[in-house]
Amino acid sequence: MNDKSFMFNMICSELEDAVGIENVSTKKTERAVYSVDYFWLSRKWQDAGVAGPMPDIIVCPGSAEEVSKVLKIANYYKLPVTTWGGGSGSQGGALPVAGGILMDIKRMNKLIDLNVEAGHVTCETGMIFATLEDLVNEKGYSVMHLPSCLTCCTVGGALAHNGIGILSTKYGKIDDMCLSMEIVLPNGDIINTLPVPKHSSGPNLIPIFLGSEGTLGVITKVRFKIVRLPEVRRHHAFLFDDIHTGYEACHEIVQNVKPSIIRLFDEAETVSIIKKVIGFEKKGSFMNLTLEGNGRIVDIEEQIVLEIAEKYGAQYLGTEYGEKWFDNRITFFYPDHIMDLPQMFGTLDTVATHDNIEKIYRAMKHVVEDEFQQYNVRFISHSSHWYEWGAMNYSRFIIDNPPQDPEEALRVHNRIWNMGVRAALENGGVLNDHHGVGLKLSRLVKEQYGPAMQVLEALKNKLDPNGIMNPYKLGL
Amino acid sequence: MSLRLNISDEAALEAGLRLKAEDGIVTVLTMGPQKAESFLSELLALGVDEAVLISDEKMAGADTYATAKALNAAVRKLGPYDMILCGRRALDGETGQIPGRLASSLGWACVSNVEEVGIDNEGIVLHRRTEDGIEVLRCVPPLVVSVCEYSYKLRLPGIQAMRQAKKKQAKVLNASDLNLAAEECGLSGSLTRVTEMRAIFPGLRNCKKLSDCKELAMVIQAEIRGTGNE
Amino acid sequence: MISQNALHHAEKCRFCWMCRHLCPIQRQTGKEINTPRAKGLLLSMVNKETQSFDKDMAQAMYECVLCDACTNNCATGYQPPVFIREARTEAVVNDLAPETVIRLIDNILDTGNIYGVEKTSFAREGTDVLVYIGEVAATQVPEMAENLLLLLEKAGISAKVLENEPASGVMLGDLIGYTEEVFLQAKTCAEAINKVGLPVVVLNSYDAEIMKQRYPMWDCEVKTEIITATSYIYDLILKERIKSKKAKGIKGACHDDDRSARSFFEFDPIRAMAKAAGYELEEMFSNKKMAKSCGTAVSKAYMPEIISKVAAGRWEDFERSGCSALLIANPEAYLCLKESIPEGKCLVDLYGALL
Repeated sequence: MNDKSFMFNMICSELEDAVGIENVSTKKTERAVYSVDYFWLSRKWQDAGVAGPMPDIIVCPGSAEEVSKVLKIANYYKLPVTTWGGGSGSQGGALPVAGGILMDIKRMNKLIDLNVEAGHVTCETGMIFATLEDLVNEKGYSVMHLPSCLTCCTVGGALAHNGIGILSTKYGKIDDMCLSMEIVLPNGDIINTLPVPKHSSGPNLIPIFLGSEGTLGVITKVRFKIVRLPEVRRHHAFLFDDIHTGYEACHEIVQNVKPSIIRLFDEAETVSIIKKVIGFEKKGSFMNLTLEGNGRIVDIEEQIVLEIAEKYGAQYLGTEYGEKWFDNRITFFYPDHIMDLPQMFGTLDTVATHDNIEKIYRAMKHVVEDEFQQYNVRFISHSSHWYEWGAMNYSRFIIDNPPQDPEEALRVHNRIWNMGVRAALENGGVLNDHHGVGLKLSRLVKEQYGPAMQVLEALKNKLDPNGIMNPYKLGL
Repeated sequence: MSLRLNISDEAALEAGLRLKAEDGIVTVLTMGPQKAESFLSELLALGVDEAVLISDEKMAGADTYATAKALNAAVRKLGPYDMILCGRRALDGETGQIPGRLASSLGWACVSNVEEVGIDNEGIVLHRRTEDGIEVLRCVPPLVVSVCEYSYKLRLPGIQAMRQAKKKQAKVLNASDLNLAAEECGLSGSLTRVTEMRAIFPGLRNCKKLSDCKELAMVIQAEIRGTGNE
Repeated sequence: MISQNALHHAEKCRFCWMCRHLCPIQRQTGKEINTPRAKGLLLSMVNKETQSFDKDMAQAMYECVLCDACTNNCATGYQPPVFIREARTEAVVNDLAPETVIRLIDNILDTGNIYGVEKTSFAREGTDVLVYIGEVAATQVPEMAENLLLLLEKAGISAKVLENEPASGVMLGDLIGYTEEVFLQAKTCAEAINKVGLPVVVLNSYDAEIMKQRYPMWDCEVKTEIITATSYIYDLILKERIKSKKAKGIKGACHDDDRSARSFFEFDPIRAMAKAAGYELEEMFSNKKMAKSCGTAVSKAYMPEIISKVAAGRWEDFERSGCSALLIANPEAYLCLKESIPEGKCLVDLYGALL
């Protein structure tokens, strides 16, 4: 789009009429801020001094009605619309790769209803998640969704890619907290899911939009359940001989009790990251576990956990390291602690049933370490979200000296992802556990779904016939 | 790590600028990678007359011997000078060898660990810190002076001066400008061999900020009990 | 020219959003450009020559109150205000600063204060302490200065106030970064204080911050003790030279201003003052070290609309506390908050409340 053209100015003024003059911007400085998100490749290109993908117009709607107006305009002119919440996603899902309109939702940040008696909270989706959690905490409650990006992501971002927080093993993923949502469809219609998330009143609408990453509409309001802040929260740490024993022990633990946190680290991560941040110095497979809730129940759960750990020969490390991990749970993500350029790195997280998860760990480690040996790649992994039926792996690759040329780096980066993710798919895993698909994995979505892809395509074609919503993402 | 002026170089520069206020010109000379040019340019706004960077890929990895050799060549090319003020040591290597090596290669006198530099009718007056106190020395040029950290606080640039400095640029000299052969430069011209180098830099702050003494007392108490937790 | 040091901070912040939720401006405007990350990213882009430093970018660098909450929350101690301040210098050097800012700078250079008005004179002779009133109280909140002086008088303190009190340099420093012009103001101020030779009680923590923490770095130290007015009054309360009032039965919450909170970590004095004034104390959301800013006098002067939103944001925090009195001992905070007092709530100057 030529930003000096007559039509460009006509469209801008129409958008200004929809959301207010001060909430539309075409300033280059402001647009540049959206050309990089948390996706490694976008950062690498910025670092290499290459300008990233920029939107043409930034629009900040203040309500669902304003979102609706913007989408109607965008549909009429067939302009791409990329929704941006916090921009803290690692998959490039918020990058405005097709140009057009960038819809920043953070002006929609109001708390609508906080009902502690009924046990739910309703807010607009542009609210920073930490702000919501603070407001709920003030009343002695919690949404119990504590991702590492809590302070920088929006509520909408967490919903759009179906995110997860560190307490998931007890309280679940964001889809377990979500009671209902308001969504603006691409044609501008404002719809609501049914008032409750569990029913036999036809297919549930929530899962269609949770994880749709801005390709099917814009989520504008949400109601979450809230629970009382736990009476006690107690942390423990253990050391297993190896990750195999760890996987087996954790499987048995989640079959018996409900810890809020279980994080099982492979030896490579135990001796690197865990050592660096909490100062634990031994070899083996480190595991920290947290139990919380009613004190009397936690007492019993603790006994059961200790018995199971003993059965698997784990060394009990007491409460200190578990507490340290909890205190430092976000410290890991600050500059100089988190991996950073010039390193190349990525999180190949996936989820599978208990019988497959260790297989995936080994297959992925094998393919990454063998195929990319020339780059001295390191592979580290932990499993941080557990279910009765399975668990996830948070496996990361790190290359300290990757190709400097941004195009060459892109090629190597994508090859690692292709191979790593295929190792998961071939062994009963999925593309991703909780970071989403975005642009990073878009090309692999069809491979994952096979003929089932037509279901998603049918939804996309019907709801967004002009294909304006977040183009090139999610394989749609 | 970021590129920055050594603290003792700041003091040396301020000492030079104060002398300049009475008479003379100040040239800033350093050796380093190309990007050091940007911070040399910052200094032009402080009243430095000329900023010179010795920079050449051939010079990478130079030890103090090779560095002093390059500085010597530049001083001979750019001079004559009455006095060379150096910071007494660099923030990273902390060898403190450059002032002495440079002076000896020039055949000049060197006064180390100086805290005050002045001029009176009879010449240069230096206050030198020793283990036993302050030595006051009267010197004649030319000489090399190494200045202690914090002995002078570097001035702030003014808006007008910054505007004018934008029009000026640092001069860059390479090995051939200084008539230095490749084997005299960098790693090949060095007497030292670095076997390993690591940057251990866990952020700017790796500690806890406390609000009051009470909190501090609790932390100390916890440390003594050995729990490491408050 | 952004220094290598400032660029280092910018490069570390360019991909990190961990402090986004704390930024009092970003919280109110919702704009991505109002994050420390965005400012770091933009400066990095300028350094890599994919963006030019233009008027829009300069504008972005001024949309920050330098409250330093981001720094204080950073686990690794990076400091967005370091590069934001330098970016402002860059803007001024290249004539790119917003016009509203340039007008203030001109006011300072012409009249000595950003408001371009005559300052109320509080000059008086005294022998115990020198009271430094500061620009904000003298021109915008004279009643707070009046109250402080009356309170000291009541406690039997003989206070001196300078005739033609020079500016501390803090406002110019926020506007143009730390340059020679700020140093010259600082030097004049320090010399005036040193000439008196009495301990100096500073009403505005912003002035106290630059005197205590910057002057020594610039070789223009104040040679006598510098005491914030709050901690001086606290001491008088402890010594019972200021008598406590009877309980009012009113619930109040203290607002910690940015620099008392994060430059001095000073929290007890204002709370002791509130108790002595008879208030029943509660804590409001984000207090003490992580207190959310309500704006500053200088930022209010060049971007009043944004600061109204920032102040309204602080009032929202207060309203949720269930208290009825918001308790303040800083003229800048008072100035920002006084325009949007919600119905049924009151803003209390604690110096006045102790009289």
